[in-house]
Amino acid sequence: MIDESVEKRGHSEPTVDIEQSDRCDSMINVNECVHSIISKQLTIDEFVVKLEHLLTSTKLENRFNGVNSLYSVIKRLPKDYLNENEANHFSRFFIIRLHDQYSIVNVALKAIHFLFKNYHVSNEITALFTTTLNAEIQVASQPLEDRFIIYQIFGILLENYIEDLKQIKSDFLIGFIQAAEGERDPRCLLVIFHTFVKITENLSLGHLDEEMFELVGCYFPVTYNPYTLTREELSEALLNCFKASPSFAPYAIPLIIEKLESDLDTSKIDAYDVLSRCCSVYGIKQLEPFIPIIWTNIRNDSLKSYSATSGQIVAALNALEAIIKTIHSNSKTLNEFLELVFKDLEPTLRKIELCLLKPTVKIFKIIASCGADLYEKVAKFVYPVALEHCSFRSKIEKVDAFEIFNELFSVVSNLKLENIEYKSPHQESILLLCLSSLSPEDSDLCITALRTLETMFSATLSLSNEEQVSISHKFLDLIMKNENDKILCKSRQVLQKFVFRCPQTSRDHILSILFAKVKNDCLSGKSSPLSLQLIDTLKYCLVDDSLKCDYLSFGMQIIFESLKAKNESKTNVIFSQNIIDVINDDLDDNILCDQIVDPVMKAVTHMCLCNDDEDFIENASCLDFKPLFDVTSAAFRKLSIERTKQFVDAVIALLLLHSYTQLLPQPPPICHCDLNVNMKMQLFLNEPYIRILMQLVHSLFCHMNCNVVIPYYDGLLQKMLNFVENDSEEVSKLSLDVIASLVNKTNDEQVSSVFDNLMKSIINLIHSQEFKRRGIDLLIALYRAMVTSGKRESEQLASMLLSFLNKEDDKILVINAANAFVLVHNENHINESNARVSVFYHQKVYFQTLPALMQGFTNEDYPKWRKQAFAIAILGQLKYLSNNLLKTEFKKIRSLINFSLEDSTNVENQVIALDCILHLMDSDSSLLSNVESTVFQLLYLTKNSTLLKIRHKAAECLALVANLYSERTLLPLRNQVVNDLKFCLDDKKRLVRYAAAEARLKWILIGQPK
Amino acid sequence: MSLFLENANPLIFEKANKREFSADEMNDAIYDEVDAREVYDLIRGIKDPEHPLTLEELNVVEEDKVVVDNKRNLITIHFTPTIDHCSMATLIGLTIVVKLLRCLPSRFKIDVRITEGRHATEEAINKQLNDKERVSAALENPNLLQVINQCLIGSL
Repeated sequence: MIDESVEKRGHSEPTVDIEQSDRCDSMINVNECVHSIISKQLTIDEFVVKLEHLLTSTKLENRFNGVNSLYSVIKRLPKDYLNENEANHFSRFFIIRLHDQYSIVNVALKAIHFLFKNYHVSNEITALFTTTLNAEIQVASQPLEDRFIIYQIFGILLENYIEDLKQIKSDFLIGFIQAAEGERDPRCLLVIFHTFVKITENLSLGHLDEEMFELVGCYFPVTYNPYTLTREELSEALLNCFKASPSFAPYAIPLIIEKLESDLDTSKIDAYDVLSRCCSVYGIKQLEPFIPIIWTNIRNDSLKSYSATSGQIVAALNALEAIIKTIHSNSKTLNEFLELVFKDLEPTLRKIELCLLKPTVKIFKIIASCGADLYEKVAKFVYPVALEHCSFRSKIEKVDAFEIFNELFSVVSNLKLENIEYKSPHQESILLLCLSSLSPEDSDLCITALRTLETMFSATLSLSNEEQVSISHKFLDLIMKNENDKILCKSRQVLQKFVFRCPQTSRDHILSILFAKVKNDCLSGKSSPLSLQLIDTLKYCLVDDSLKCDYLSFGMQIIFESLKAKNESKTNVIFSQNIIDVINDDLDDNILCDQIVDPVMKAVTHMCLCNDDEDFIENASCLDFKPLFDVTSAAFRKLSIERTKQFVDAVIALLLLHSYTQLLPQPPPICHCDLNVNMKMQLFLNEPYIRILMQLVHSLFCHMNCNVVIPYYDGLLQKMLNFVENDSEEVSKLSLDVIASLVNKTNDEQVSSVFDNLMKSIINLIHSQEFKRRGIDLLIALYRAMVTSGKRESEQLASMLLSFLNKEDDKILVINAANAFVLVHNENHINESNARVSVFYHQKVYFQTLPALMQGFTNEDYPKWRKQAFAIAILGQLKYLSNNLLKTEFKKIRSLINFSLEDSTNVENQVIALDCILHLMDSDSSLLSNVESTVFQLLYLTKNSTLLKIRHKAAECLALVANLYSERTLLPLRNQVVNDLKFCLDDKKRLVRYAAAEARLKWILIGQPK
Repeated sequence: MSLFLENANPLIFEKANKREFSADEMNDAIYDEVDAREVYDLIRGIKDPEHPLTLEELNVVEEDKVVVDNKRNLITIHFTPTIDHCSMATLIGLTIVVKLLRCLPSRFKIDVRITEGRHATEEAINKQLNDKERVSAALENPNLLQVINQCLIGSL
C-alpha cells in the first residue's frame, strides 16, 4: 500500500509540474515526454492519463495546452509507433474536439491531418470525421489556415481511404461541397480543384453532378492574378476539373458558350482552351446541339483579325480542330458541320476584296489537317475557287490565290495517306497553273508559284513521268533565261527539292543539260555570269554520290585547266569555293580521295617532272595555285587518318628518297613524256618546282589530322629546315609553317628528340647576317606551335625571345619578336589546321612571360622604342584573357597603362589601355596611381584623338573615374574637365557625344548638392 | 513638396530600346548631325520628382515632340504633365532645361514648352522656363538645385 501511494505520488508530482508550467509551451517538455515514451519509461496510456486533468479541464487555456501537448507528442513519435487501435482512439478524440472552441479546433484539425496521413484509421473514424465536419464545422467561416488543412484532409481521405468513402459517398460529397463552396483563397482553391478531380474520377457523382459542377464552374474563367500563384496554374487546375467527367457537359458547354461571347481576351482564350480539351471527354452526343453556335464564335474570332488577338485566333482554331476530331467518327454530324462551314466561308473565299482570304484559308487548313478524307473534301471545295481566282483576277489577287495552294499542300505531308501514289484533287490543273506562272516577267507571281511547287514537292504528292518532264523543262528554261536574282535564288531552292523528289528525271532532263552547258562554257573559256550561276546552282543538286563525283571531278578539271590557261574568268575560284563547301558537307572518304587528293597529288608530281609544263611553272605564282591548294587543304582537313597516312608516306618518300612512284606510278594518258628520272630529279627539288611542291606539302602537313603518325620525323624536319634558307621567300615561309605544324602535331618525346637540333638551327640562322630575320621567324613559329600544344620546351624558346627583345638593336626585328607573344593567343590558325591545343595555354603564357616582360618595360636604361615593344607584348595578350583573371593583375600593369595612354604612336596599345581602365577598374579606385595625370590624358584623348573608338572610350573612362574617386580628389579637376568636355559635346560623331554628355553630367554633379 | 502625391497612380508606358548605332555612325569620316532621338535620349531618363519613374515611363516626354533644327541651331521640346493641374510641371520643365544646358553643345538655343492645352497654367510656365535669368536665379537656390540634381543622377 505504501509503495503504491509512493508510486502514485511519484506520478502525481510531474502532473503538478505540468499544471504549473502549462502557461508556456516549453513547460510541457514535449521532447522529454517523447524521449520517455520512446525509451519505454512511459507508456502512451500513462502519458494520456497524466494529461487527463488538462484534457478534461473546464478552463479553455488548460484544454488547449492539453490537446496541443498531445498532438505535439504524437507528431514527434517515430513513424508507425502507434498501433491501429491507438490511432483510432486518438483520431476519435481529436474529431470529438472539433466540437470545441475554435482555437482547439485548429490543433485538432492538424492532429487529424497528421493521423490520417501517417496511420491507417478505421472506416468508422472516417465516417465520424465526415459527419462531424458536416454537422459541427462551418468551413467557410473558419480561419484560412484551418480551411487549408480541411481541404488537405479531403485529399488524404481520397488517396488513402477511397474504399471507406464509397460507403459514405453522399455524406462525403455533401461535406466536400459545403466545405469548398464560396472559397476565395487561391492556394485553397488549387487544393480544392485537385481534390475535385480525384473525387470525380473515383466516386460516381450520381444526382450530385450539377452541385459538384457548380462548385467549380463559378470560378470560370479565372480572371484575377493572385499574388501567391500564377493565373495559369489556377486556370489549368480548373480546366482539369471541367474535363474530369462527361456528366458535366450539359452544365459546362452553355457556360463555355457564354464566356466565348465575353469581351475579355483571357475569358475567350480560356473558354476555347476548355472546349479544346473537353471535346473528346464530352463526346459527340453532348456537343452536337451546340456546334452551330460554337462555330459562329470560332468564325467570328478567326476572321476578325483586326480586333481579335493572335492568342484568341490560335485558341479558336485549336478548338475547331478538337471539335472536328471529336465528330470525325460520325459522318452525318461531320458532313452537316462541313456543309455549314463551307456555306459560311464561301463568300470570304470568293471575294478577295474582303481581305479575309488568309484567315479563311487558315480555317480550311485546320479542317484539312484533321484527316485525309477531310483534306479531300476541303480541296474539292476550295481549289476550284482558287483556280478561278488565278485565271480571272489581277496579278496581286493571283498571288493571294496561290497562297491557298501553298497552305493546303503544306498539310498533306502530315496526313496519314494509305496510297503512296496520292494525287490531290485538281493537282494537274494547279501544276499547270504554277508552271505557266513561272515567267520572269512578273517576279512576285513567279516566286509565289515557285513556293507552291516547293510545297507540292515536299508534300510527296505523286507526279507522273510526263509531269516530271514538263517541270524539268520549265525549270531549265527559268534557270537558263532568267536574270532576276530573287527568282534565281528561289528557283535554286525549289530545284533542290525537285532533284531530291525525282532524282532520275532531274538527272536526265536538267542536271545533264546544266552540266553540259557549264562544261562547254568553261572549257571554251566563254564563261558568262550565267555559267557562274549555274556552277552554284549545280552545287545544290548533288543528291547522291555519283552526282557529287561528277561535280568534283569536273570542278577539279576546270581548276587544273584554268591554271594552265591563265584565263581571267572566275570559274576556278567559284569551283574551288563550291568544292570546299561540298567537302565540308560530310563527303565520303573514298570520293574525297579519288576525286580530289589523288588527282592533285598526281598532277602536282607530274607538273614538277614533265618537260611540257616547264614554261608554265616558271611563270606561275603562289596566287595562281591558291584555288587548287585551298581545295587540297580542305580535303586533308576531312580525310581519315588511314588515308592521310598513305599520302604522308608517299610525300616523305618523295622528299627524302626522291621516289615519286607512290604518288605517280605512271604518267597520265594524255602526256607522252618519258619521265627521265635521272635528269629531272635534279630539277625536282629546286626552284621553281620546289615552290609548287612545297605548297602541296604545306596543304598536307598543316591541315591533316593531328593524330597521324609521321615516319622519318627527324629527316623530314631537317629537310624543311634546309628549305628555310631557300632563296625563295615563299618556300621559306611555307617550310616554316610546315615545321611549326609538325612540331605542334607530334608527341612530346619526338619533339624532345629533335629540339636540340632545332635550337642549333635557330641560333645559326640568327647569327648569320643573311638569314637573321628568318631565324627570328623560325623562333616565333616554333614558339607558337609549342605553346599551343603545351610542350615544355616552349619555356626555353620564350627565354630566347625575351633575351632577343632585350639585346637586339634592330627595331623592326624586336617589334616582330614582341608580336610573337600576342600571336600565340590568336586561335584562327588553330581551327583551320587541326592543331593540338593545350587547355588554359593563354593564361599559362601570360603568367610565365609577364615578370620578364615587365622587367624589360620598367628598365630605365632602355630607349622608348624598346619599351614600346615590351608594352606591345604585354598589352596584346590582355585582350585574350578574362577580366576576372586580370583584375588582380591591374596593379602590376598600371604604369604600363599610363605609358600606353600617352604613347600616341601606337594606337592599338592606347585602345587596349582604355579597355583595361573600363573593364578592370570596376569599384577599385586605387588602381590608377596618379589620377590627375590620367584624367588629363583621358581628356586630351577625348578632345584630340583622330580615332572614334579612342575618343569614345576615353569619354567613357572619364565618366567611370567620376564615379570611382572621392569628391575631394576630383573637385580640383572638376572645372577644367567640365569646360574641356564642352567641346566634346559637339563632336562630329554621335557615339562620342553620348559618352561625353554622360561624363560631363557626372563631373558637373561633383561637389553640388545632391 | 506636398506629403501627398497629386497623381498617386499614373499610367506607365513602355521604355524605348537602347539606340543601336549603324555602320555609318561607326565611320569616323561621316558627320552625324544631332537628331531628335539623340536629344530624346538625353531627357527620357530624367526621374520624375514625385515617382520613382522616368519621364519616358510616364510619357511626359516623347520622341515625336522633340524637334531639332540643325541649320538654325534650335531645339524645341514639348512635354506633357500627367495631369493638367500638376504643380511639378515647372520643376520638370526646369530639370529638362538644366539637363540639356549641361549636355548639349552651347550653339543650340533650347526651347522647352508644355504641350498645348495640357496644363492649366501653361503660358506662365512656358514663360518661366524660357527666361534665362529666371532659370539662372533658380539654379542659385541650393534646395532647388538639390532636387534637380536628384532627378538628373543616373539619367543617362
